[in-house]
Amino acid sequence: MVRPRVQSPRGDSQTSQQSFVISTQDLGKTYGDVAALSSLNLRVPENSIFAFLGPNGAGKTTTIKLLVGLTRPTSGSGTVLGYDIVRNSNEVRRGVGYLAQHPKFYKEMTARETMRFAARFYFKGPRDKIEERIEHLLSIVELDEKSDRPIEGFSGGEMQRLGIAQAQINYPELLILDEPAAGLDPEGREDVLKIMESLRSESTIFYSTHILDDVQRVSDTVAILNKGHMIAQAPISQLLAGSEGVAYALTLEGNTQKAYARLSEEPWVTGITEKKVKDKTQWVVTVSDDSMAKKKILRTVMADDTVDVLDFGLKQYELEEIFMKMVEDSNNVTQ
Amino acid sequence: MSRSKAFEPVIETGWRMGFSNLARKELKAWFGTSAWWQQALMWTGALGLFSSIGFQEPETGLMIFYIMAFIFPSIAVLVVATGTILEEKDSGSAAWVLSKPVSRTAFVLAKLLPNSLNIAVSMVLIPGLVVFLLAVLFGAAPNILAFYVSLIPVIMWQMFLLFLTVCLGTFFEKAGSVVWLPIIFIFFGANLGMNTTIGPFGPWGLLTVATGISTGTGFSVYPLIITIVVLVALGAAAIWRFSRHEF
Repeated sequence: MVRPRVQSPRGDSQTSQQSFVISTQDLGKTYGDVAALSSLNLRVPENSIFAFLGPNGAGKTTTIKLLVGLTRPTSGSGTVLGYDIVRNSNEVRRGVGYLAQHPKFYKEMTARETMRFAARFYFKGPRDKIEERIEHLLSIVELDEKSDRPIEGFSGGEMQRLGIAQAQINYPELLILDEPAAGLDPEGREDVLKIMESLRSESTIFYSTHILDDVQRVSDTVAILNKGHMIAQAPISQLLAGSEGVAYALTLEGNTQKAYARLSEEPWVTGITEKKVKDKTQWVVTVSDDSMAKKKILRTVMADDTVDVLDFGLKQYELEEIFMKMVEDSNNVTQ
Repeated sequence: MSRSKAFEPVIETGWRMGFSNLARKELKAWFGTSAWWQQALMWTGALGLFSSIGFQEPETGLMIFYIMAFIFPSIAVLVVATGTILEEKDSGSAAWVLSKPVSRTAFVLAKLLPNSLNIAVSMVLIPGLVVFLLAVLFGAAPNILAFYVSLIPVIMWQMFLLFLTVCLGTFFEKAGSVVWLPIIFIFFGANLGMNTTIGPFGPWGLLTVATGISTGTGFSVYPLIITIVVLVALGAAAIWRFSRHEF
């Protein structure tokens, strides 16, 4: 099957040769007076593990349901694998694998029967090849031992793993997973993340989550959604580099007042954020001139004998900090 | 994607997409489990028992069979039909299936057509055969051909209840909103059918059609024609509504 490609639009920060497996233009969904999703412009690059991040109720599941045709947009448009999500929803569903947030299968079926049922939507035969594929996927998700048991007795983690296996049955170019690790114990979460990493070579993975640790571990691109609005979309390395330019982190002991005043006067310092932790003081110093900062920050602070510098280095942002700040800023704007 | 070239792809397109797999699943869930013979046994026992009481008078025994066949298995039809769409919408299994290359028309038709066959075999044809054998045993045997043709209106009645319940299941989310109308038809359908004014003008008239065929006393074709029209309309309404359902 040759599918239409969606190229990066002119002026996009991504390279012009990059293909997108998901592309939306002002996609929106309202339920009555409530806007679940507003003007979403999403670009998911091919061959990425793309995390769709947001607090509960942000609109992540709504977006995913729009992409797989389970619900219809009230505004805007979108393509998945180059196919229009409304007009060519059948083609979209042929090319993707989907795992719902709380996957529900027919409880009277076994795991193997569930896989066979899913496979028959795509393939008529040969039977041995289909069985081989089922066996392979069940072993990847470590359900081969339980493949002939009715799924009624499966745990949440087993159900989730079966969900990923059935979503992969048709060799999808794009795997869409809605909160694949939510509600699982640490071991179950670890299993799901490992499976996702192992599938990276086969499919682009677009998954929603609110578990930040998982995002930082397996994803390479992130979009952050809050209250139906997208507030950021970038490669994770770019996001982690911070949005406020270069910053340095210092941990100090003693009286920091004079050092604070002296450093604040430097023209290349754009801001100092101070936090007290027990008897220590932590600073994040944002700067406009990195070369000056490298040379002078430490000297300026250490010129004051009443201050001891316990730690100094380039500020490494955690995704959680970025996420919390962006969501907070977004909430302040909408209030 | 190239790895999938080793497989023979399903070629169903448009409204048929996914139908054969879904229909196969519905038939297997019935005939591949104990459901078919348990239902057949239950309704054969109930209808055989009631009919045999009346077989001292040949026509009374058959009349009891038709009346009971219009009421008792209908309750099971209602249960099957409610579960088939309402529970699937509620549990999320319908959303899972519809995330595959499946048309919503195929989804609804796969609920209506295979279940019509399941119900016809287990709730009408098998009990009907046993009741016929009982009638032979009691020396009250009707014409075999006429008797079996008379089961067609009985099957159509059960299909009417199935289609009605499934259709209502596509419009409403609660079982209470879905079952009240079919229940009225189950318990008052026979009375409506015997009413000389409105009797021939609805599926409820199928009871008099069945007895008319079996006894050779003649019957109106209106209930048959109207029921076919109603089945098509209910099926179309169910497809129309389900195509607009948002998960």
